[in-house]
Amino acid sequence: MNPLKRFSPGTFAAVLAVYLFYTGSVSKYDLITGFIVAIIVSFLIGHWLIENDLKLFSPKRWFYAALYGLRYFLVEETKTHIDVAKRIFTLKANPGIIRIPLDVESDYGKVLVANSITNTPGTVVIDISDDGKWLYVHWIDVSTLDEEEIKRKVIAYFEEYAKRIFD
Amino acid sequence: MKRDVFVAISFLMAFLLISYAITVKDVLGMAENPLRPLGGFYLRHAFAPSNLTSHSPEVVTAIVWNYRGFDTLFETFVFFLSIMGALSIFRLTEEQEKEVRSLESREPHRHMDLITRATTKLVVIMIVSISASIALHGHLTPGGGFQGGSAMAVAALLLFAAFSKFTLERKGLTLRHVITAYAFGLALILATAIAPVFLYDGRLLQINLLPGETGLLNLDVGEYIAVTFGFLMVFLVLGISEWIFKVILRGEIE
Repeated sequence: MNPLKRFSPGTFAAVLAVYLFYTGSVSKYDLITGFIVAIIVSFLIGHWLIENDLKLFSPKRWFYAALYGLRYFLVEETKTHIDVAKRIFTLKANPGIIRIPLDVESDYGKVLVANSITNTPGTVVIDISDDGKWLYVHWIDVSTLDEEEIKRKVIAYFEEYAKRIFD
Repeated sequence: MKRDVFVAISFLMAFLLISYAITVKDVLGMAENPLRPLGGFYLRHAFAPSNLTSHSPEVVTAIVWNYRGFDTLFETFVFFLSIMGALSIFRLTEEQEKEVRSLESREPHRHMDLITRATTKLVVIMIVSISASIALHGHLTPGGGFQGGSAMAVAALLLFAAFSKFTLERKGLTLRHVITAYAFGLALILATAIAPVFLYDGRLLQINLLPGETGLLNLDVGEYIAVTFGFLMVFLVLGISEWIFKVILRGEIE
C-alpha cells in the first residue's frame, strides 16, 4: 500500500493530543517525542482507528458533538434520574428485554447510541446483533411493545445526533 | 460472601493498625530522622552540576538505572532468559508453524461484538500513547521503561481479548517481527551500557559520562521496547491453542 495513503492524520492528531494531555506539559522535548510517537503509531496502524479523516476535522460534527453532550448530560440524564428515583420509592417497575432497530451506519455512532442508553438509568444495553442492526436493551418499564414507540422512548434523540456526528 | 466481608474488614483493620503504629506511635523512628544519609545523598546528587550527577530530576529513575544500574541490567537479563526459556519450550520449526497456521484457519474463531471492538480501539490507542509518554518521560517525571512497557502489554492483552491473535498477525505483529523488535530493544540497552567504556574511557554503565540525559533516555526507551515486545512474544506463543500445539509437537498429524 502507498505509504502516504497509509498515513492517517486523524490518528496522528489523536495520539499527539493524548500524549501531550497525559504528559501535562508542552515543552520542546514533549513536542518532539510526541511527534515521533504519533508518526510511528499513525504509520503502523494506518486507518484502523479512523477510517475517514475528514470526518474528524469537520467543525460541524464537533459542534453537534458538543451540543449533544450538553443536551444529554443536562436534560436526558436529569429526566431519567428523576424517573428512576420515583420508581425506587413507589416500587413501580415492569422490567423486560426489548429489541430496537438501529439506523445509524458507522460503528462509532452505534457505540455512541449504545453507551448513551446504558448510561441513562433504567436502561441497559445487553447485546448488539452481529450485523449491528439490532440492539437488545433491558428496560425498567416496558410500557409498550410497539417498535416506533419503544424507539422514541428509549433512544430519544441519541440516534439523530449519532447520525449527524459520525455518519 | 461472609468470608469476603471478614477478609476485607481484617485487611482494613491491619492497615489502620500499621498506619497508627507508624505515624502516631512512631515505631520505626522516622519522626526525628526523616531523611536517611543514603536518601540525602541521592537527593543531593541526582540532579546536580557536580561529578556524581545522573542529569535527572527524577531520582527513582536515576537510582534504578544509574546508582543501582547493574541490578536493573541483570533484571533485564533475567527477563530475557525467562522469555528465551518460554520460547525454547514452545519452539516450532518453520514447517510446524505453517501447520499451525493451516490448523488455526480451520478453527472457528469470532471476535467480540461491535461495541467492545470500537471501544477497545480507542482505549488501545490511548494506552499506546500514554505508555510512550510514561517511558519517554521516565527521566523527568515518575515513570520509566519497565512501567511503560507493562502498560503497553495491557494494550496487547486487550487486543487479544477483544479481537484475536489473528488480527495482530495480520497487522504484521508476527512472532518473527516481535523477536526482531525485542532484540532491538536489548541491543539499545547493551549499547548504552557499553558506550561509556569505549567513548569516554569510563566504566560499564557509567552513563553519567554521556552528554546530558541521553544515557537514561536510551536505557528507558530500550527497556520500554524490550518489555513491550517481550510480553507480546509470550502472549503470541501462548495464544496458539493447546490442542493444536500438542497435536503438532507429538507429530500426530496426517
